[in-house]
Amino acid sequence: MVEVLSEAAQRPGDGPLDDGPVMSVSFRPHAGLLTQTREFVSSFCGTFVRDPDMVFRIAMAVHELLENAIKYSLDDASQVRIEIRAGKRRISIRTDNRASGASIGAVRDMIRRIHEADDPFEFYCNLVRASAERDEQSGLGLARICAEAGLELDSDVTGDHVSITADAPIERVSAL
Amino acid sequence: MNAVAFVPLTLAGFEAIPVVTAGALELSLNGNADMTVSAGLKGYLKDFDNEAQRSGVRVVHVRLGELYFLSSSCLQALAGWLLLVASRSADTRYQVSFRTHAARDWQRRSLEAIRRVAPKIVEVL
Repeated sequence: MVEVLSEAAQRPGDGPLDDGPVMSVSFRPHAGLLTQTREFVSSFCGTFVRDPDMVFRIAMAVHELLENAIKYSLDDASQVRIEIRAGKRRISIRTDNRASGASIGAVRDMIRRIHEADDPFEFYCNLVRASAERDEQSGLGLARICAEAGLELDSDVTGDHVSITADAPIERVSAL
Repeated sequence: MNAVAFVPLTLAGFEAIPVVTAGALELSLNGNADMTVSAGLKGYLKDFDNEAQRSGVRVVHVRLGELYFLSSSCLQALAGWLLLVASRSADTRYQVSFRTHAARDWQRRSLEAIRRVAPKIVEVL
């Protein structure tokens, strides 16, 4: 299921939007659609965000959250929601899915460690080195979002549902 | 160096193409390297490394000019390869030089974390 809501398209010429999302996309993640989804987000964000590198950072964060949702989801009922609030000069990306208690615990622990790190990039580099020594899942995605994309992470858990949010201010947004 | 021994890897949306020219070994990574690529890339780099070692390669030039995305799972594959090479004695290992795309800032940012895994053998240009 793919649902796209673009208020910018619905209200052309209204000027900057202060409330509600400019874009909201929700769908079931699928490994075969990763690249297409990232390219879609990149193309769409390119109409709002002037800095191409910032567009890449947003798209990279979307990609890493999608990979996590696919890898750790308990079923095919995962939903990824991407929301852009350009009126508030912020972007927010959120994934929601069901996951095992162990996976949820690992996510919360990783986010806590990222928050506690003095230097997020140094923390990420240490994880990259540790991942090079093993064959199982890399466990790098969340730390990469923080270290390379500069987004802030948070999680919310209700039962076996986990939501992960990546959020950042956007410095340069074109007038809508 | 036997050019035939180095074979390409072709996956959906991604390819790794080795080229032997005048005693130098190049490896071009092209396309989108996401989670559907990581297992294949990891296995490919092990075979590539075995052949490079057998051939006595001293430098591998990795070209990223046509690489559009590298996921964390593929970063792990590259980091594992470099750590393996760096673990060998200086006379039996080779250097790895990454040639990035000037307009893709993310490549240098992502490769810095990989460079730190094996700083003695990796350079990023």
